[in-house]
Amino acid sequence: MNSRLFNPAAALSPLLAGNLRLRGLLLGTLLFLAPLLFLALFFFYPLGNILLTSLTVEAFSRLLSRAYYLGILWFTLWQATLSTVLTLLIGLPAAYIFARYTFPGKGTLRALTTVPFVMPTVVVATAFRALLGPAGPVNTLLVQTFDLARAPIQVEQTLAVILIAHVFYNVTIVVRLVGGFWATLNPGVTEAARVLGASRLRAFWEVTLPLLRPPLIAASLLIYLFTFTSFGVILLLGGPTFSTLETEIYRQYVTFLRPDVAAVLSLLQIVFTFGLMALYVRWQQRSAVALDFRPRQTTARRPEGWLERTAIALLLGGLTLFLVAPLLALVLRSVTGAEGLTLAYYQALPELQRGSVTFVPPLLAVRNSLLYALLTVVVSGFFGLASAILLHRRRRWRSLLDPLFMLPLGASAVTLGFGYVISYDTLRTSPLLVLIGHSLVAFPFVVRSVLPVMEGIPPRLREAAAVLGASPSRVWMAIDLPIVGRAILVAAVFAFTVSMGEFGATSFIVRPNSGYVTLPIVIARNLGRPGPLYFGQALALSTILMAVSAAGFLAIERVRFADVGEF
Amino acid sequence: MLELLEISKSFDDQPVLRDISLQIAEGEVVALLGPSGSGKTTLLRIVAGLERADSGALLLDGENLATVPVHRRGFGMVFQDYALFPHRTVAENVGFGLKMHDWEREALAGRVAEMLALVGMAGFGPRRVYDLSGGEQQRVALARALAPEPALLLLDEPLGALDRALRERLLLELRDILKEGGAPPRVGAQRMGGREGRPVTSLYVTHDQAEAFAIADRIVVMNEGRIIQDDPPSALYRHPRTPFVARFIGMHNLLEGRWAGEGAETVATALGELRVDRRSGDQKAGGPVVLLIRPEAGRLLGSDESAPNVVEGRLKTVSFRGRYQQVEVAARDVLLQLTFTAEEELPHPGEPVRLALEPSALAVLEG
Repeated sequence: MNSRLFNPAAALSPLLAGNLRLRGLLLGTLLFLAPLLFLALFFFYPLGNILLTSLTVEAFSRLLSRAYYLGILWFTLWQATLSTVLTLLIGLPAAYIFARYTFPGKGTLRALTTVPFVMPTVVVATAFRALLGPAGPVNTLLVQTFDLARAPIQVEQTLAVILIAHVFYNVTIVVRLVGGFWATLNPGVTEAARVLGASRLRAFWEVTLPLLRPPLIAASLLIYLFTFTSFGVILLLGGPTFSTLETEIYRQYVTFLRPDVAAVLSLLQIVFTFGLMALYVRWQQRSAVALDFRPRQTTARRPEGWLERTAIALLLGGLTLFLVAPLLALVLRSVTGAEGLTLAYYQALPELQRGSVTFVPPLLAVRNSLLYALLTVVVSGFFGLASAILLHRRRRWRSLLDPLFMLPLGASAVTLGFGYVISYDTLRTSPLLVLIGHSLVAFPFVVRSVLPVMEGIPPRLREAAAVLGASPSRVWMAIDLPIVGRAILVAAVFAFTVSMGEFGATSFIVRPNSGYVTLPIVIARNLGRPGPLYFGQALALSTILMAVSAAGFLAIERVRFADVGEF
Repeated sequence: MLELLEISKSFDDQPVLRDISLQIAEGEVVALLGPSGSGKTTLLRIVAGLERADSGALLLDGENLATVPVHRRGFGMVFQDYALFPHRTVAENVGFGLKMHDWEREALAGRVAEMLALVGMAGFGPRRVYDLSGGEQQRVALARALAPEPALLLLDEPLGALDRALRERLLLELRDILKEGGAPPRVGAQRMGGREGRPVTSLYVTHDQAEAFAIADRIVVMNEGRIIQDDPPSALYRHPRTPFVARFIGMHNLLEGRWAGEGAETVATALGELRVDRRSGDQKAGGPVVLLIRPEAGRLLGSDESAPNVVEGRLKTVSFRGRYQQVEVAARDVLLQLTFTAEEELPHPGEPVRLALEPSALAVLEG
């Protein structure tokens, strides 16, 4: 007997299943279309508008005929070059020490080098002004020690302080990328060169350096990209004297009301950053494969002899001081007034100052920023996860979609903000555009945190679980979820900290009189005003922002799996 | 001649080498044999100049090497994982040492080709090293170390990363190259180096006793940073000095016993009084000793045959290994592990067996 005839459910089941599959397909398609739509509306459309705006003959001819603009481009290029070279010079010895030696507190120190990297630019700018300013601890110490009449170090609005801040920011890239790769190089290879008659220098030149080339180039490109698009540091530390493409876009639009010139400059910026980004991705992939792999433990040893120990201690001590001093100065000066220790700057935060530029009490900005950050986690988390799943499941579209999802990482925040204001001017009165801007900036971070972990789960783990008797759903619960779950948590914290510190795009989008201002905007405005209370409040707010970012960073270091994920 | 005088070394206050003294004559192949952690690799790295000894001296033909940095010692080294330069071709790897010594380009190319031919890798010059198999990488590493004619060749477990069959084959080739200074791979092949017939002075680190036996003129057994025994392979095999050495070279039958009498070369053991050939040291009668019964000591006896050192027991297991048979015999409270030739007609497991233990296959060890 054919049992199917007697069982309507069984007879219907293929149909039902087909229906379910259809619904699943629809849902899936929607899920996959969502991030593409998001990118189209809030990334490609604004950039397209910039392109259209820039296509006026007048703007181009104005740009090319003025030496002023060429000067800006030139300055942008060479300050980035100088910053990159300096960062490499300071980062390489540290990378070597981290790769080849073990010493007490190594993990903590390595984490410490990353702290500046996660600090918002307004915090770093405030911190360096706190450290090196006329009343800062360095100058005070020098004045007291040598009995000077006035502060000897005048770095505010100089190239030096810009370069120092850039090195401060990016030194961890060298330590992480180059040092990480270096640690996987077989030290025997260098030893072999030595036994064969190469001096220390020659062995480095002939063997180590060529092997380090992929991470060196990748790190250089990344540092170059970051310093090329540096906005907050140059605007807040360099002052009106220094102008890069990035700050000039801002000035042309906000101060000189020339959206067409700003658009041409943005176009230039986009071309440069996408070019650098493409190069970086290529070299980053190459440096992911170490040619001669060895477990990391065996390649590092303890320093031997007093000479080696002293040299390493001095280098690491200097690095620590360099990384900690500005942030320490920031915290200390936020609680120091004219009469010693005080909480006055913090106590004044809930009050609206007479004649204040922000029109809202500073504390409101703290609340705003926290809300934006939480919502950014939800929005960028949704689109980022959908994209990661899309990339993971649809391998055929991968080569097309992967770079597409990476592109927002290459676009500078200022360009994005500029694109938003010329595309969605009507939305500027609502907080929505700020949220969208933050979510778009956070989006690639979410994708890059989750995807490598998703890809990195060895199929063997799933197979082992299945052989041990786990059903497909149990396999997902037992293997995928716990591993990817942690990555999602990391992504959420990333999105949160990115939103908290976002400055470039927000400075375009948020109207000065709006009640939706964020913490970095208020800090920047306070920095621009004379008077100790404004500076003091900038210090207090920066300290709060620093604490939030540092907490986020610690959370990431805690939860993430070592070395999986790309940031 | 290389001389090591009372070399000591500690890592983090943990002694790794304690007063190591050793001499290696010109053309000699010396194996450093020991378990992992015995300090043999550290000793090799000190000789190379890659580590510094805490105390002691290292002399090459009477000259102290203390102040000579690695790259001026003129030694060659084959690393355990080969440490080939991954960014260089095979030829560039082999030629690296020559380049460091400023060889002319043509002479260098000639020597590289010659070295590649020597290790059976002629024509591999332009290849990338990471496309090579493990055995091929090993050959390139050897060619690279030999190319600058090192005064001393240091080998750190050079065959350790290879599978067994390949290891056996390469071991014999390596032995030929070291002892004959590299015989030409083909009869009549032209060689330019003029190194024929000059053996390569070598220090060979291994934890594999079979490798050490096959390749070395002398075996230096190390344990816990000390030299336990320093003898030619045959002497080491016949008379391991301590139970540790005996066990390390694969011996199992160690019996505690006592000298049975003054002058008489017999040892009282759980198997009864056994006669031995050589009396090591001059322990007093009644003094405790350890007696080694080498696996080939046993000889089957007929029920009425008489011989020295007769042992009666029961055959427990027989395991056929091709060239020989591995046998366990339970006699009194002792389980003896013995080998017999493949042709020997053995009783079935469980049956009684009567054996004679050859006095020449017994050795008295330091307790």
